[in-house]
Amino acid sequence: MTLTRHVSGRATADARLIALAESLAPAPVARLRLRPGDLPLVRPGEAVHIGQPILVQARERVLLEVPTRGEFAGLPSGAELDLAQVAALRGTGRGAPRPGDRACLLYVGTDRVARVVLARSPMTVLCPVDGVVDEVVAGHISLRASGIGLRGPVGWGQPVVGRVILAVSSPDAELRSGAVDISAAGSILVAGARLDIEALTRARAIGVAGIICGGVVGRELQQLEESDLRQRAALHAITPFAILALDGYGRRPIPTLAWDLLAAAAADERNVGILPDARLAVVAGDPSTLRLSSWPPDAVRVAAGDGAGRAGRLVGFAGPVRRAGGVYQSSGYVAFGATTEAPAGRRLVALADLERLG
Amino acid sequence: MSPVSLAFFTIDHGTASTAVSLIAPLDGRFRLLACGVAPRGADLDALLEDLVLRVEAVEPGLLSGPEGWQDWARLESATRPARRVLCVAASDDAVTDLHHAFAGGGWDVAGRVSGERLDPLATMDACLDPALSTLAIASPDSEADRKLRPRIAPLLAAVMGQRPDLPVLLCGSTTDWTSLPPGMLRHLPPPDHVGEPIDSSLRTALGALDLPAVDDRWAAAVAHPAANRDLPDGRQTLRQAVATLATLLDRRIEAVDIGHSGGVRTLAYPSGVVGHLVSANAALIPAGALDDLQQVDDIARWSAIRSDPFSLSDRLRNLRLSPWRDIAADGARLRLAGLRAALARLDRQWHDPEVRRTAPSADMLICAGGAFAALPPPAAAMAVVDGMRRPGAVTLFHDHARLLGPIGALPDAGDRRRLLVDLLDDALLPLGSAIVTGEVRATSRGAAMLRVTSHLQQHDLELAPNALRLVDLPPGVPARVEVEMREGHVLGVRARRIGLDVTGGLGGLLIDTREVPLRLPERAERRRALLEAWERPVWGPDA
Repeated sequence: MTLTRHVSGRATADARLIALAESLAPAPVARLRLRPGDLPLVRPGEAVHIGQPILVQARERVLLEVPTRGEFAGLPSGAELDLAQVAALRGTGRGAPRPGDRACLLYVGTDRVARVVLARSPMTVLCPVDGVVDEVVAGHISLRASGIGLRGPVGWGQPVVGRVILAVSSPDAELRSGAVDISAAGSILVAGARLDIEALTRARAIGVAGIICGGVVGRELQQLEESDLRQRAALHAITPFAILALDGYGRRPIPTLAWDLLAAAAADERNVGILPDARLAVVAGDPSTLRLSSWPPDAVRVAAGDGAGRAGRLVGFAGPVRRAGGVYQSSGYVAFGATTEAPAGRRLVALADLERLG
Repeated sequence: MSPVSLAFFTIDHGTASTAVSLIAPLDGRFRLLACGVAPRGADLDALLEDLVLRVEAVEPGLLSGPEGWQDWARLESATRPARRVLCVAASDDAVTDLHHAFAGGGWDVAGRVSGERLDPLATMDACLDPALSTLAIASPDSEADRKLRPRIAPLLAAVMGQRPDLPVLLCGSTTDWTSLPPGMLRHLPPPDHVGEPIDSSLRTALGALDLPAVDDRWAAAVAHPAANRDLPDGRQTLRQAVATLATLLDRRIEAVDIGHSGGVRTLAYPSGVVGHLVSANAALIPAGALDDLQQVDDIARWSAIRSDPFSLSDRLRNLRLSPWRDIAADGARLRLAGLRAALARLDRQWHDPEVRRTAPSADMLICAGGAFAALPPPAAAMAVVDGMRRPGAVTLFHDHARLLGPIGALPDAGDRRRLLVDLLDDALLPLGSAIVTGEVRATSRGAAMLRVTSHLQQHDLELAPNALRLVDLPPGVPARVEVEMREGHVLGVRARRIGLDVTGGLGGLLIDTREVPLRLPERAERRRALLEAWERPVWGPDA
């Protein structure tokens, strides 16, 4: 007999019908984007460590057309060129190479004009994780990080690393600017369900390395992007800063498994690296020594709607239930334990709004 | 033969959800006994077992030997995230044709590069993007194109030198491309000068192309079980099923499918498929909307939700990230906005701007895909008349159990036909009918009148301009609609009196006298008020 549930009237609860929560990723692979003119400083197979320079990124790229007489013949695309030679061929004037530029060949056209990219205002990117370099190709560096990874759908900024600090008391709390303290400089702050623009600005101003939160408001991300573009245009030195939102846009509680991991990492004073391009955070060190909660198979979390963020146990199915708006959704009964904000109780929740923890 | 040996499951693996059904013979024909849908990440075997348990709970003994359900046949299809392509050609015309072939074949076109307006740095940067699945080069037999090839060939050779991992598709002749490493090229037919819904030899060849799975930003959470399996493509199997249905019913049938990773529109006549468009851009919320505020704003324009624009943008983006969550209340309205915008995008792609004649239409329209499932039937019908505007009458159905994709996966047309004959009533839920009159004007000689006559009742309506009305007409009830005009056009023709037959559905009969195409006011508050007024009848007591 392979029917695992007994049926008598209402089906018994089988949490396997509920989507699995985002799981933690042991030894995740992370990619760092390389653009024309960027210089990788590592090789495949090389072990890398937190804080080690891993690539030189150009903050400004300029295309230069250089008439040639076969000087660059045989050079592959991407080859670094002698700046003096490029300057001599190009001559002076607007757009000419400046000291400190890097010149890389894109290609030489049939018109014998070389298309060269000038990489300006270099910025050294430090490795945010311990690990091994998997691959270095024209478009990216791929790292296999040691540690345990957390993925999120929204990432912004540059790769950063720092000691993780819980800046809020629960995964659905909001970080206010007054709570961002100078002692957090250089660290990765766990900011709860969201943080306002004042908190974000203050965090950046005092030198917080990065923020991990449940959700980020699109408008605030846009303001941050605009401010960053202005700084880049003015060629101001930019302190690397990153944001990783683990559950989307707006106010979203940090997912339970991620909160557990971050709380354990904070208690153990671990470093966390954020790689925004890969939308990944990596908790450094041996994952097996972290004290993480284990969840029973019927443990679920309300991921959306009323009571979002609360975890409980699926205790029964209710079949299709008509919801406000006229839609019918398969629903289930979830038993919640008592918290400081809410008493213990049972609620009817759409299965689609739940995620399975166990 | 006992019924149990013929019981089988259909499974439609979507990119956001999985739909499952249990079908078994009953009284001499196949019937849909149970169906369900769950977000991606739910356990497939648990879903199938649940179907068996539900049937057993309602009608014990109907399925003999239900304990053997794991051995029952499974008819499966899968949709996958769109692959990303950069379209390159020496001439503008060739790159446009190439773009049509890919954009209408369900690809996410990352950009178009033409030798006539070349930015070498931007092109190289785009080619180095690790999310790019392939680079496609159009190479038609055209003198104008050939003259411009030397301009672009060295750049492409440089790209191929830097990205040896990137598959490069040479679509057309190999002439003038001697500088490209021949071992890295895959040869495909040249693009034809046709619109996006029209098939071409290149489109067919692309369908058979074997490329690595897509690196989808959304897919971080759960490994996609269907992505790595050799399952038939759900968009192509839908086309097969619609074609079979058109032959079977001897009618012109259109299907629109809006899902998480793309949209599909197929039009089939009894003689065969006349148009088939797969568009990544017609996803409920396209992937590009996560980074492109303009795309989000275009969708938000269709929303009647009273909220600040930034919160609305955030909610729309979350709809992209977790499409199954938060459906209740405003969630359904948000999906209605997304669906209208997606259908409008699909409609724009469907109509070839170079062809001035009216696009061919169908007798019945089947709505499919996850986006329709999250709306009450009148709202789903409204989304169709808003997004795909044309004067006339159409009968709407909903493939509620997502059966058409898996049924289309049957390789033999005879098998598809036999199964569809049995399952037609179960598979297609009548949403209702819609009559789009086109703009009507009240004149000095009086307004146009409309009479709906069924064996249940008779409705007489004055056709007020710019209005949407819902007439209650239960599923399956036929009715005669007569429109009487004093002057002007109605239903796209100039006539005094027009009669047509319609059939009721869960959404009733929609009478739409709004203009074609629909123009929404620019001012946000006026637009919302207008949308609210239009939506009032479809939400009923939930309004």
